[in-house]
Amino acid sequence: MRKPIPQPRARLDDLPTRELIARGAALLSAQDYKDAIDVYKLLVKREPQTEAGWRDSLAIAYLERARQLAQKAMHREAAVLWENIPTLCGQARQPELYIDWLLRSGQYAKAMRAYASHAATLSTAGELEALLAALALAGQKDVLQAIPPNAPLRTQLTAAQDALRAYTQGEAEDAVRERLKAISIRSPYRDLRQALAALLKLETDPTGALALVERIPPTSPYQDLVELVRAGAAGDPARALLALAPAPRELAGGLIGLDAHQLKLLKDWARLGDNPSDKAKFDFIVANLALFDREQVRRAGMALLVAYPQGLKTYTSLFGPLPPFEAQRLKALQAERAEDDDLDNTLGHWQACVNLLRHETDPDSRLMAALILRYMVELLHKGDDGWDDGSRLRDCLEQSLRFDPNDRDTYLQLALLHKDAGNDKEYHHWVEQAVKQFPNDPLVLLAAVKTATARKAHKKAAGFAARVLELDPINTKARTVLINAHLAHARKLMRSDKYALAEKELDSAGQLERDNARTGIIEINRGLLALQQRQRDLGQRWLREGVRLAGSPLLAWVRLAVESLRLKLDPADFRRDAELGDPRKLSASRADLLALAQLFNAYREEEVKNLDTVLEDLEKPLQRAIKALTSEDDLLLICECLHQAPHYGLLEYAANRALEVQPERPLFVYYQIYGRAEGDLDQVKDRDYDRLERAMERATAAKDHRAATAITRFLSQSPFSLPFGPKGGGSMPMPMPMPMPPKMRREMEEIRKELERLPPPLRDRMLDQILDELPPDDEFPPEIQRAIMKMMLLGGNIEDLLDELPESLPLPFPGGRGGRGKRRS
Amino acid sequence: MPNPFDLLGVAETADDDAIKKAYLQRVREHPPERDPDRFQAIRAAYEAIKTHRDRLRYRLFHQETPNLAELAVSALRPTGARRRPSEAQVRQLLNQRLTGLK
Repeated sequence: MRKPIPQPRARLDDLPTRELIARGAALLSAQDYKDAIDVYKLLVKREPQTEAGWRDSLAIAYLERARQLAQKAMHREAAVLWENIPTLCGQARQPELYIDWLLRSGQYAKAMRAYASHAATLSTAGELEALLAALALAGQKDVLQAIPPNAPLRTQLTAAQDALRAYTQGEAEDAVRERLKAISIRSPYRDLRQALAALLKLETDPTGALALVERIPPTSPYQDLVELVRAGAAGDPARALLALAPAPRELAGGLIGLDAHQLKLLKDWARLGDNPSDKAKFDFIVANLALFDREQVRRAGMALLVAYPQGLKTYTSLFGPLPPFEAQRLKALQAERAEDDDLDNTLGHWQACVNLLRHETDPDSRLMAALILRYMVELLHKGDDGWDDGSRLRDCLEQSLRFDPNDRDTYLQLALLHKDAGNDKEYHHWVEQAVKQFPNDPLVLLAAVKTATARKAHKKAAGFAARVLELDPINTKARTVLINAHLAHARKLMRSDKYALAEKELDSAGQLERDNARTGIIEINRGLLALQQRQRDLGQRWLREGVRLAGSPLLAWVRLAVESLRLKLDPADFRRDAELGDPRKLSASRADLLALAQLFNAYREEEVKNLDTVLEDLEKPLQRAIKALTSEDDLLLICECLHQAPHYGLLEYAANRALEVQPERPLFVYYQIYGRAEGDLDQVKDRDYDRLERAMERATAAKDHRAATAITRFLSQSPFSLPFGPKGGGSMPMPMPMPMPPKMRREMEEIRKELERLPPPLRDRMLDQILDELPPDDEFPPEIQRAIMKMMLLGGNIEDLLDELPESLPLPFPGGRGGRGKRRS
Repeated sequence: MPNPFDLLGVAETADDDAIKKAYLQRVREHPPERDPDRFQAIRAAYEAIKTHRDRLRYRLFHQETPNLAELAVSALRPTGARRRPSEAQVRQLLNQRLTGLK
């Protein structure tokens, strides 16, 4: 509800009574009680004799305003406002609120008097009386003095005090019970009676004590005594104790039988607070050392030293010096935790740990060394900034296997790292080692299938896959690999006209294929085999069966085309036999497109070549299907498929469509330009180059790593990119793209060609002249700038460039990590 | 992650069998359908220490600050005689609660 705009006081006085009445009503309904008080006070002043109910309205405004103040914890102010009410309308409204505010503001005598005068009309008389009784018992003089002589608060007080004294002075149970009987069940001290009875019961029957405190209302002033009983009776009193506030915690400690040292620990615990510092924690365990299990506290202290290294001296004095390995491990953990975390420093400490374990012979020490080396690999991965060529990772993993050869994942990780680095020989070697160590592990055997397939050792691959199927008959990957191995062998035999043997291989493949997973590929090969042998009818039947099983004409055509090309045959020759018709007139649905993308992924895994040729005849139907796509995800999948194939024309077409759906998405911009330039950076027009750069900026800002990596890889094709790739032109993408715009690239190419034509002495002189005229650069010192330019014009690689530079040069790369100096440390 | 040994209620010297037994017991107490968060914590604790290799790894690299509450609880097993509070202490407790109304 909108608050009325307050008017200046002078104007309020000028308002006619009729308007004041309307304003007062509006302010009341808008809950603006403060201003309503002013209006009604003015009305009452103008016409004190009126019976129009303004006094009532003023009383309401006072009461509600007092409530508002009380809600803001302004209890004293609330009570003062309330005191206006009885004089205005002749009756006290909600005196229980008034008494409560008086108690909350510490005006006990006044509260007691108000209670005495309003007791008959109070809706919460019982609760207030119990509260006042507790204050009297606690010794509040203001309350004690104000209690009327014959009030139950006074007449029952002595009995309550006697009972409390009997309990606290350790009188016997029966004696205390007798005292408690003197407190009647209607007494304002009845909750005390119940609480003391429960505390007494706690000593012999904790469960019974819990039942007794259940009868005490949650608003009772004796709730702290209730909490004491609950903590004392809990199944794990020590744990319940820690959940209490400090004061009752100490009393509960005595009730359950904690000694003085333990009570001191509780005090220290209270001092720790909610979020203690590492130092405070360390000091806490040191101060209460005698109470803890020594080994447990030693481990806790050691763990704290990682975050609080200053505690080492105290730790050493208490537990003796750390063994060399533990001291080194602590340094490594501290280095890892340091805010200026330097990866090389951390790794150095961990390596020192390994060195300490190197000559140990017990199995645990060797295993620890291996685990540390593998942990170092994790750290290297986390800190990977793209500069490392993986040699440190491989080195750590190889070392770890010397300590612990029984770790499957390490073999596979190592093999994969070698594969990524293009070290095929090492890749195969480590997979072989894994097979030797884990001959019955399906994951290892599947890796072995891959390496064998890559080496065209199909028989070996089939052997590994068969072994996987023996171990795990439902392993679809192994089944597919095995089928593909038979098919590959069959193709090889067909190409060398060994038809009978090829048929046997196809039979073997057919026996492995599950009925619910038939793709038609075996049938198509059977058809092509029959046609090769001039068995036309049989060939046609098999081809048509293959087409049927392929699922759709589009997929059938792709399968037929791929299989024909693998046998070095022209797919067009079998179109009629397969009853497929003209591929250009095919229609393809969204589902066909998505299935095609999936099929191309599978072909890529099998390293099938010439997929772009297969797509040539399908250009028109695919364009029609792509045009109908509206989902960004679908378009992304198709673009990715066409990018991998690669089919530049269709890729550009799909990217155009994708940019209609999602304009300016960096990855789609990249696909469009990549397709348009047919994957050749030299063919990128200047305008597209600018768009690509902007797309790269957007991708980086949005942390779209996929797009950023794709664009970086494309841009790094340039022979004039700064050559920070791995030695030997490995497959690792350049971490920082520094390509040149096409125009500059063309000029550089011209200079390079000119230099090539010159005789060497003249070429060197020209080169020196070019390098001498280089303009100053903010990012690179002149020596580096000259070396880079020289390498761009004459060729070379980053390692040679780095080797030529003097050691003292500043690093050209921001941040420094992974730069020259550190990589060598 | 809280100390997995504490969470599963096993000693740091416990072997594979004892840890598995404790894990299954905890899962029975906190089944995933009734207490999914607690179950996840129990599962993570088990994964962290279930084999000798895992335990070595945990001891080498874990960096969690020790659970002081567990340590304190272990030090608070009652050892002395039960003591009733004094009259003054009860009065003080009452006063703190009642004058805390202010």
